[in-house]
Amino acid sequence: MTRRLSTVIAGVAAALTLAGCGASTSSSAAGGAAPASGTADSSGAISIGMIGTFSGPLASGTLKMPEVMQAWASWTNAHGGIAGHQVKLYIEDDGGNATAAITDVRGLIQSDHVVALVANLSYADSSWAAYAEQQGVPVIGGQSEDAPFVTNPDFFSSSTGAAGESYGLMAIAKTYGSKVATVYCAEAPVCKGAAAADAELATGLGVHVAYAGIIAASAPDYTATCQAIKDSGAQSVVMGLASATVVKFVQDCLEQGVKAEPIIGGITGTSTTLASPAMKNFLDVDDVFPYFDSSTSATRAFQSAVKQYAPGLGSQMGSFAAHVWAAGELFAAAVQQSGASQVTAESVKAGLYALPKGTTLGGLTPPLSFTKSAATPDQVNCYFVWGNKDGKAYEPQGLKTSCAPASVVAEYNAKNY
Amino acid sequence: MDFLPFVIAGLVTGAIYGLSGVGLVLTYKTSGIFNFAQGSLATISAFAFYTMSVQHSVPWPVAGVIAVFVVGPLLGLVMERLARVLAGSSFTIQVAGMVGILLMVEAAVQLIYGTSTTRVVPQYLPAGGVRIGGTFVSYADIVIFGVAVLLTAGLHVYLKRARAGLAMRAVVDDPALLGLAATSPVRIRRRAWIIGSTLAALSGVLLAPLLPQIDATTLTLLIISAFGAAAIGGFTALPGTFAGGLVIGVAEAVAGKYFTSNGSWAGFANAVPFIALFVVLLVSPRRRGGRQVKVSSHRSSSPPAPLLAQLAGGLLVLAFLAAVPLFAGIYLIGWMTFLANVILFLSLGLLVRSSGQVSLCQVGFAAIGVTAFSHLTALHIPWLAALALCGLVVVPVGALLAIPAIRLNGLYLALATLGFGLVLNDLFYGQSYMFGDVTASVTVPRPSLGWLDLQSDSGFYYLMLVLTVLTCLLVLGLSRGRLGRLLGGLASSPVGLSSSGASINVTRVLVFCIAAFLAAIAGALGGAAVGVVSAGSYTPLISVTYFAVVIITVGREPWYAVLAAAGYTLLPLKWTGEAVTDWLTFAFGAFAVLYALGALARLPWRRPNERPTAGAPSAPVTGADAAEPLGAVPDQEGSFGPEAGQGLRAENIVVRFGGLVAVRDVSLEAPAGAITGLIGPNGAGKSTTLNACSGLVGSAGGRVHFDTRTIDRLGPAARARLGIGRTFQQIQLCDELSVRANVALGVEAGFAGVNPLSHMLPSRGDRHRIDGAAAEAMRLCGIEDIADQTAKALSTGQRRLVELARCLAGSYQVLLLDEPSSGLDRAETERFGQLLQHVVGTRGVGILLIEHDMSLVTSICDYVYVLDFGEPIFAGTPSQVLASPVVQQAYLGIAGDSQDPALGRAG
Repeated sequence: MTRRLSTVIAGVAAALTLAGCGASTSSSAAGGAAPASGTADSSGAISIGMIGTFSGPLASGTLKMPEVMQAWASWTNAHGGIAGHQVKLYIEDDGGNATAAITDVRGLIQSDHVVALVANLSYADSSWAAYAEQQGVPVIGGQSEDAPFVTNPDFFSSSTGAAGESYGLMAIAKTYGSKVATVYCAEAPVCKGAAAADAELATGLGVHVAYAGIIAASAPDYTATCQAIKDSGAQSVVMGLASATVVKFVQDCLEQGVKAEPIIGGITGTSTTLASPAMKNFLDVDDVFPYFDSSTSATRAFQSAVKQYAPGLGSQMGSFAAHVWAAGELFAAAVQQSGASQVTAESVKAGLYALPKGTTLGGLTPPLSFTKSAATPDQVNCYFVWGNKDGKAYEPQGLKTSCAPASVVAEYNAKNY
Repeated sequence: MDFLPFVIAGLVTGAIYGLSGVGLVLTYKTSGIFNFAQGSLATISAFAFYTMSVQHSVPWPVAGVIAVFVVGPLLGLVMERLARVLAGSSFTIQVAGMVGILLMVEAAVQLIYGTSTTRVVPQYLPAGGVRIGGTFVSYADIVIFGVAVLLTAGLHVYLKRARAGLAMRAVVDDPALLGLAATSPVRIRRRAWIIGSTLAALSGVLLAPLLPQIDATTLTLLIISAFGAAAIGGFTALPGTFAGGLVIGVAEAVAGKYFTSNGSWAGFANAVPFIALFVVLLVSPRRRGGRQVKVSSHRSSSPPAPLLAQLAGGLLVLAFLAAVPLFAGIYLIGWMTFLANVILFLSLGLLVRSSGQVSLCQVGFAAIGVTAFSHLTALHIPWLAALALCGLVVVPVGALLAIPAIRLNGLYLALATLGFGLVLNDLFYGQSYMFGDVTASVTVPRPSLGWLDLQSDSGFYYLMLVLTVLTCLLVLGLSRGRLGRLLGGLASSPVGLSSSGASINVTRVLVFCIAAFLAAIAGALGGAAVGVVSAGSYTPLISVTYFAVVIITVGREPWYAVLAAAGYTLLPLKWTGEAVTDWLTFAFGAFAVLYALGALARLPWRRPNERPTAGAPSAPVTGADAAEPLGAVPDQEGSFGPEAGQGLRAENIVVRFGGLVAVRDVSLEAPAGAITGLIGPNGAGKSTTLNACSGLVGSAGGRVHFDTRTIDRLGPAARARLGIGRTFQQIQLCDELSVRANVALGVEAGFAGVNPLSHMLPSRGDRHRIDGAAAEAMRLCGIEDIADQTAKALSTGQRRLVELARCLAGSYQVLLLDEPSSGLDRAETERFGQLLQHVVGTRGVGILLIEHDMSLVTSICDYVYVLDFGEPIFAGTPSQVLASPVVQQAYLGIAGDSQDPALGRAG
C-alpha cells in the first residue's frame, strides 16, 4: 500500500472488516468499438480508465466517486469533448484488494486500451504502478498522497502531496499558537505514521506537538483524549480522522471545555463537516479547490456538472469529488495541449509536459508543473485553505494557495518514501 | 488529581464494556455457548432503532421499546433455538454457528443500508450534564452507567435469589436433574437467551447515539472489547465481568494519556481490551479453564477415496493448474493468490479440521510471514532461504499461542487467538519490523535466477504451483501419518491420547507451530505474487472469515483447501458487482450456520458422516468370543514400558477439589501379576483415586510409586510411558478413527512420546510393531471383525472392548480399569473376566479394577480395597470383604448402582 492516509481515514469506521475477499470488479463504459492499444478509437473517442476502491470497508469516502467521474465525462462530452474527441470512460473497482487492482489495471490497459488512468483512487496503487509505467500509460490525478505520486515518474499529480498538506496543517496550527495537539485514527498504521511525520514538520516550523493521540472510530467516548488535550494547553488540534469521527470528537471535546481550534486535512472536509453544529469553526487544509467554490468559471463548471449529472452525492459531496474533477480537467488540458490528432498515451504525456509551468486549471488546482525525463514526479507543494467561521463556509484566501518550501518537501519525501 | 478525569472518563466507557459483557456471560453461563455474535445482536437492534426513529420518525421511546423489548427477545428466541441445536456439537461447530451469524449480520447490514450514507443516531437522552472532578459527564453517560450498574446488580440478585435465577444456575450443572424437578431446562435457557439478547439490544440502542456513526462492524468491535471484561470475570461472575469492564475502561483512558502517537506504542490504549483478553487467558489460573468443551476433528471420517482415484484426480487438477497461464490472461495474479490461499487454508485446516482447535488469527501469521520475508530479502538473504526463515520466524509465535491451548479449553484458545490478532494489528503492524507506519506497506520480491525466468508472471506462477504441490504433499503426508493420527486422537479424546503415552501438549504446540509456519509461507508467496502489500490487506477479523470458509468446505486434505481457496479467491475475480464482497460474506456466514445446524450434512454431495455426531446407534457385537482360545502374548519388541516391575503403590494420597476433599489418605497397592479391586459406593472417590494414580488429577498429599520410582510429578503421558495403562468409565476413544487405529494408538502414542520429531517421523520398524501389537490386542479382545468400523458406530460394550484392546496393545505393566464391564451383558462380563485373568497370567501385568459387579470382583480379584466418602474403610481378600460388616453397611447393603463420573468429579 501507500501513504493513503486520506482513504484510510475516510473508511476507518469499518477498517477491521470481517471479509477480506473483496476483489470486486466492475466495469462500465460508453459504447464503441475497442480501439487499438492506447489510442483513440476509430470513432475518435478517447478511452480512459478510472480505478479506485469504491466498495468494501475503505470505500465510505469514495463510494460515489465514479458518479463524479461519469459526471465529468458527460459534461465534457456534452460540451464538445476534448479537442473534438468524445471521452469513453471505463471504471474499475478494486475493492481495496491488491490482486483485484492489478487485474483491473491490466484489463484497462490490455483489453480496454485506455490512454490514461485518470483520478486514481486505488488503495492498492503501489501494486500496479510499475505495470502502468512499464506499459507507458500515465496516471493522472486522484489521491496524490500515495507513494507512486512521489516515486513513479508516470504519475502526474493534480493536487497537493502529503508533505505539502502536512506542512499546511502545521502552518495553520502555528497561526493559533505554538502548541498543537494531533489526533489520528487508530485503525491503520498509516495514521500513526502521519502523526509522527506531522510532529517532525511541526518542529521545523517552531510548533510543539503538546499531545498526540490515537483514537478509534468505534470508541463510544472520547472524554479521556479531550481531557489530555485540555491538559496539554494546545491552542489547536489537527485531526486525521473520518468525517463522522471528527464531528463526534469535536463535540465531545467542546463538552469538556477544550478550547483548541479544530483543523482538518484534505478529504475529511465534506458537506457533513460543514453542516455539523459542532463544527461551527474549523479550517481545512485542502489539496484542490474548495469544493463549494463558485468564484471562477472552472469551479462553476464543477458545481453545474455535479448538479446536472450527479445530484445524489449527498454526504459524499466534498473534497474527494473536487479531487476527481480536477484530475479529469488535468487530463483534458493535457490532450488539448498536445494538439495531437491521434490521442495516445504518449501524446497525453507530451501534453502534460507541455503545459505551462504553474498552471492551476483556472483555480482548480495548486500550481502544477511536469518535467520530462525527471526520475521522480514534480511535487505539488501548495495548498488551499477553507473552513467554517461562525457556522458559515468561508475561504480565507480564496483560490490562492500557500506553499511549503521545496526543501522541506524534499526532505519529508526522502525520509518517508 | 491528574488521574481523576481519566478515571471518570474510563468508568463511563468501562460501564459500556461491562454491560455488554454481562449479557454475554449470562448466556454463556446458562447455555455453555459463547455468543461470538453478541455484537451482531446489538447491531441489529441499533439499526432497527435507527430505521424507526431516524428514517420513519417514530418517537424515540416507542422505537426504543420496540428495538429493545421486541427485537431483543425475538433475537433471543432465534439464538436459543440455534444454541439448542448446537448444544450437543463440538466447540468448533458452535463457533462456526456463532461466527456464521456474525458474518451474515455484517453482510446483511451492508447490503441493506449500504455505505454511502453516514448513519448517525442523534442523542435522544437529555442534553447537558454535570461536572465531576473537573470532567464534564453528560446525562446520557450517567444514564448508561446507572442502567448498567442497576441491571448488573439486579441480574446478580436475580440469579442468586429468584427461583428462575436459581434454575438458570442449575441448568448449567445438571439439566437432567432440573428436569426432574419439573423445571424445563429448555424454558430456563430460553429465558436466559431472551434476557441476554435483550441486554445486547439495549446496549445497541444505548450505544448508537454515542458513536460517530453506526455501521455493520463498529458495535461488533465494541463488544469484542467486552470479551476482555468477560475474561476478567472468569466468564461466570456478573459483578466480576462488570468490574472487569470498568478496569479495562479506566486502563484504556489512563493509557491514552501516556501512550501517545509519538511513541512506538501508540496503539497501546486502543489495544488495552484485547491485551486484557489475551493476558487474562494466558495467565489465569487453570481452574478458569471452566467447563470442558467437547472438541472434535472435522475432517471427513469416511475412508478416503482409493489412492489411484485420488492420484488421478490430483493429476487432473494439476494438469489444469499447469495450463492456467495459457488462458488466465489478466487474471493470472488472481490465480497466484489462489495458490497462496490453498497453502493458507491447509495451515488452518491442520488446526481446525484435523486437531479440532480454533484459530482466529491465521491472517496474523500470514502478516508476520510476509513482512519478515520482505525484510529478510532486503538483507540480501537468498530468496528460498528467506522463505524458509520467514516461516521459522512465526514458529515461536505459534508456540506462544499454543499456551492457552495447553492450559485452557477451546473457547479460551479461540478468544486468545482473536485477542492476539487484534493486538498484533493495533500494536505491531505499524512497527518498522513489520509494515512500518508511514507507508504501512512492504515490497515483496520474486526470485531472480539467471537461467530461469521466475520474475515473470507465468514463471513465478509455476514456482508457486510447485511449492503449493509440495505443501499439499507435506500436509497429506503429515495427516495420513503418525501426526495425523495423533491429531485425530487429540481432537476426539485428548485424555485417551495422553493416557496412552503421547504428550498432548507437545502435539498441540507442534500443530500450532506447523500451522503458523505454513501460514507465513502462504503470506510471503501471496505477497510476492502482488509485489507490494499493505497492512490493510491483513486486518485481523479476516481470520474469522477464513475460519468459516475452512469449516464449511468439503473433502479431505488437500481438497478442502483447494475448494476453500477457489471459493474465496477465484469467485470474486470473475463475479463482478459492487456488493460481491457482501454477498460472499453473507454466503460464507449462511453456510457456516447451516453447517453448524447439520443441514449441510444432509446435502447429497456431502458424505453422511462428515459432520461429527454426538453418538451413533449400537451395532451388534460381532467379535469373536473372547473366552475362546486366547492368543499368545503380543510381541513386545520396541514397546515403551519396562520389562518387569513391582506394580503401582499409592501412599496416603489426598485429592481436593476446591474446598472439597474427594480422597483422603488412601493407600493401596496394585502389584504385578495380580488383579486388585477397588470398590465403594457412588461418590466414594474411586475414579478420583485412579485419576490421581494415572496423573489426570493432582494430589494434594501423599505419594504415588511405580515400580521403584516416585511418579508424583509426572503427567499422565509420562506415567503411561512408564507402564501405567488406563481405561475410563466414560469411554475415551477417538470416535472418528477406526477401531484398528484406536487400538494402534495405544502403542503409537507411546512411541510419539514427548519428542516433536517422533510425533511426525516414526522410527524404522515402528509400523510393523504397531500393526502387530494392535492386531494381537484386537484378537485377544475378539474385535477383529469390527477392526475397520469407526469407533462412534459401536455399541457401548464394543467400545469398552476397544478401549481395553488399546490398553493391551501397549506394553503396560499396570492397567487401571474403571468400570470396564459397564454396558456388558452377563455373558460378555464373564468372558471379560476370563480375558483379564488371561492377560495377568500370561503377561504378568497388574490390574487395578474399579467395579460395581461384585460377582466379577469376587471371581477375579486377588485383593480388594473399599472406599467410602473418599476414605479407605476396608481392605482384604474378596471373601474378607464380603464378610466385613463395615463394607456391608457402607456398600453392599445399598441396592442398585449409579453413574460415577470418570473425570473431574469425586466418585
